[in-house]
Amino acid sequence: MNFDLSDEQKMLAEQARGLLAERSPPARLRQLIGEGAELDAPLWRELGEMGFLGAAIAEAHGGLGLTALDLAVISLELGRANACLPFFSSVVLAGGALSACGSAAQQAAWLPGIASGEKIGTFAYAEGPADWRAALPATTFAATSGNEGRITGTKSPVADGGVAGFAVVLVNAGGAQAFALVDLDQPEVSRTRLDSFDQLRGHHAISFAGAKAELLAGDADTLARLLDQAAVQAAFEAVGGAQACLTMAREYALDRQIFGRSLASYQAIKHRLADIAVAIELALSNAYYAGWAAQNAPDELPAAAAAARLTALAAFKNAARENIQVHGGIGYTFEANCHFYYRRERTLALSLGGREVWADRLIAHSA
Amino acid sequence: MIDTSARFAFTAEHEMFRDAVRKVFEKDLIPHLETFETEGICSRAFWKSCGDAGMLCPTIAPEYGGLGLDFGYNAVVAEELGYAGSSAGITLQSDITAEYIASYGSEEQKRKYLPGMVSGDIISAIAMTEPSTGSDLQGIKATARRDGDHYVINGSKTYITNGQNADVIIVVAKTNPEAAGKGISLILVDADTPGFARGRNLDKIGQHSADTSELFFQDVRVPVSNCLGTENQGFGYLMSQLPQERLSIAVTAQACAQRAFDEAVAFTRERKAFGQQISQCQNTKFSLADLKAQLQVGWAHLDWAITRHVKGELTTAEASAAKLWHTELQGRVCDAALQLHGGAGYMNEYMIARLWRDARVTRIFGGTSEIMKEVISRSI
Ligand SMILES: Cc1cc2nc3c(=O)[nH]c(=O)nc-3n(C[C@H](O)[C@H](O)[C@H](O)COP(=O)(O)OP(=O)(O)OC[C@H]3O[C@@H](n4cnc5c(N)ncnc54)[C@H](O)[C@@H]3O)c2cc1C
Repeated sequence: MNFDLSDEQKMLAEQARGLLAERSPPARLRQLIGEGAELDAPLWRELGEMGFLGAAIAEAHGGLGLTALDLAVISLELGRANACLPFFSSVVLAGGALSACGSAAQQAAWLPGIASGEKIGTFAYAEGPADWRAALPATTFAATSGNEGRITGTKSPVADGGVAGFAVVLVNAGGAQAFALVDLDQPEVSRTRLDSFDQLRGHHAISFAGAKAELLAGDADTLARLLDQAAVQAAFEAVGGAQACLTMAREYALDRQIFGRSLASYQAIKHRLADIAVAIELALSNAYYAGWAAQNAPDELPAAAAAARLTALAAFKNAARENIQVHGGIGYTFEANCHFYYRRERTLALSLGGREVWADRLIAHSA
Repeated sequence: MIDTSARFAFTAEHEMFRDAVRKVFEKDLIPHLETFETEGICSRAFWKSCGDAGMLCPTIAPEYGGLGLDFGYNAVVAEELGYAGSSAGITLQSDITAEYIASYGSEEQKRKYLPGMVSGDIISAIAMTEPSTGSDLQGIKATARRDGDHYVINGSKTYITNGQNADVIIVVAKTNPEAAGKGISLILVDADTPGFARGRNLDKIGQHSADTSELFFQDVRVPVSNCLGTENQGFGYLMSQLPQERLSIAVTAQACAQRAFDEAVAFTRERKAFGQQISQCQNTKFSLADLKAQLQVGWAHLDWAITRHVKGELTTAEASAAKLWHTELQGRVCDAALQLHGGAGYMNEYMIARLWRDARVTRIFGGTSEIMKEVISRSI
């Protein structure tokens, strides 16, 4: 099997990389942090216009109808740029949930907006430190008529909860896990911004006091599949971040003179960079395979997604830390760009469940 | 040579003793290391010369032929033995089996065994592990059934250190098979008792000079007076002896790690590649620096643990942590030191090859690293 990207995918990657490098350089990230922004709005609009946000959404709903691997190419470039965009929350998670288990009416109502960028969604699952994957959510859905009802409870932390207009909320509906679609712009919803470590991805606590909601058709199996698919995209995002760290570390080492020589000429530095590169290659192979499985071999997806996620996050963690180490003192400062990736790595590593959760899933699904 | 100038667990007397130990090893161990390895067993003559020099069971009281010293002397022997690269089973006798007999034995048992164990005329073993269970000692199957004033012992044991040489074996068996931990006793079995048979001297990855063996017991009759301590209390005895056993393994592990490091330093100074000594490559310098830092921490910790144990303060959790840490250290250091040897490290003629293969088992015997973590976690 040949897991290299197709020519079209390579073009897509180049286009995304070029655009993001130009619009979302570190100076822009600093500006957004200074403003307390949670979204680079002009860039988001532009990505919508260029079709990036609708890449994996069906053509009937205003998307391009491409595959998981096409979407992954964009995830990787977003990870490299560390852009301040709710792509993962809105396109991957909320969009993924709607595509997987929304009714025709629900899809028609929300997917075109996600594709254009006019509507931003998020996925609200965590409820503080409890194990949200195993237990029934404390947030409840009480049916009023048909699939409509009202939800009560608090979700926290919710990524991109400040800029989202709607959320897919994991709820307890009559004793079973279910997804509720909730418009966040209603009086029964209140949001509090949390002070989060990743300054480029805002997190909120969102409380629902009998907020109007409607159920999607999903159940616990849908949730597992959605998380697997999201894990693949997050793996690509992590690989992109790791690649950015390696590039930064390499460039800095080549440039910096120490004891009369280039820092990059020291064996200890060369070996470090080689270790980062090896971990990235391994992660990328796993991620390609998982991206392929997401589209072509659903039975293999759980194990492939877990392996991709575990290796990608391990590669990103190592790269983000070693990048700071190679930079020395400057790497520890806000002026250097290392911390953007260090922070993002922590966000990715802890969302969708930590390492243990995915290691367990890998074991459970390995032959 | 182990540098003891900055150590704090030992007195001037310990250091004099260390000099004596080194001399004995120089004369009676080092020249025979290869022979012991190829024969899979240490000679009784070696045991005897250790006994003659007062190096066996130093803590045993003078009335039983010993010197009545503290555990620091045991530690000196363990360090020097590990540093010499030998897997001889003398520490098992000094640190473990003699301790059992001294602590729980009757006057008769002490008189019968201890003087010979001190002099090297009697070699001992302790048989806990069985083919079906090791970590979970409560699950042993060997039984000692009461028949009048005798026990009739049946069962098989495996991986028993000193199994071929042993004259006496402390057998862990169930005197009450219905009760798990509360039905276990320790019973002394002389190797010439009918029904006792030695199995294979097992072929191992390393520690080739240790005669680790299978032992079989078929209707072995011994008088009930051979029970060590009180019947059915054996499990408690095992648990209370664990700190010393684990510390003893930790001591050996640290010394072996130091030897591996010293071998790597010597080798990388000699060897040239790309027009320079490999000790000049930054990777070599950093690898060695990293190991040296770990060894420094290790010695400080070891001295702390020895000192505490000599005062009787070392807890089971602390001893388990010491075993865990020092044996894991040994594994890391031996592996890195072998890597620095390149292909030579893989050749059995180099000392590092033996240190590396011998190291692998210390994370397993005397309780595995995983079991050490279990024990430590219970103290949290
Ligand atoms: C060279 C050598 C010399 C020895 N000398 C002696 C001797 O003189 N006398 C004697 O009685 N025995 C001796 N042994 C046996 C040794 O003590 C046992 O091998 C050891 O305790 C492990 O037991 P086992 O082999 O049955 O492994 P098992 O208990 O079957 O363990 C297998 C694996 O499972 C893990 N495991 C077990 N329980 C748990 C748990 N609760 N949680 C997580 N992981 C767990 C272990 O850590 C290990 O990785 C010797 C062994 C060797 C190799």
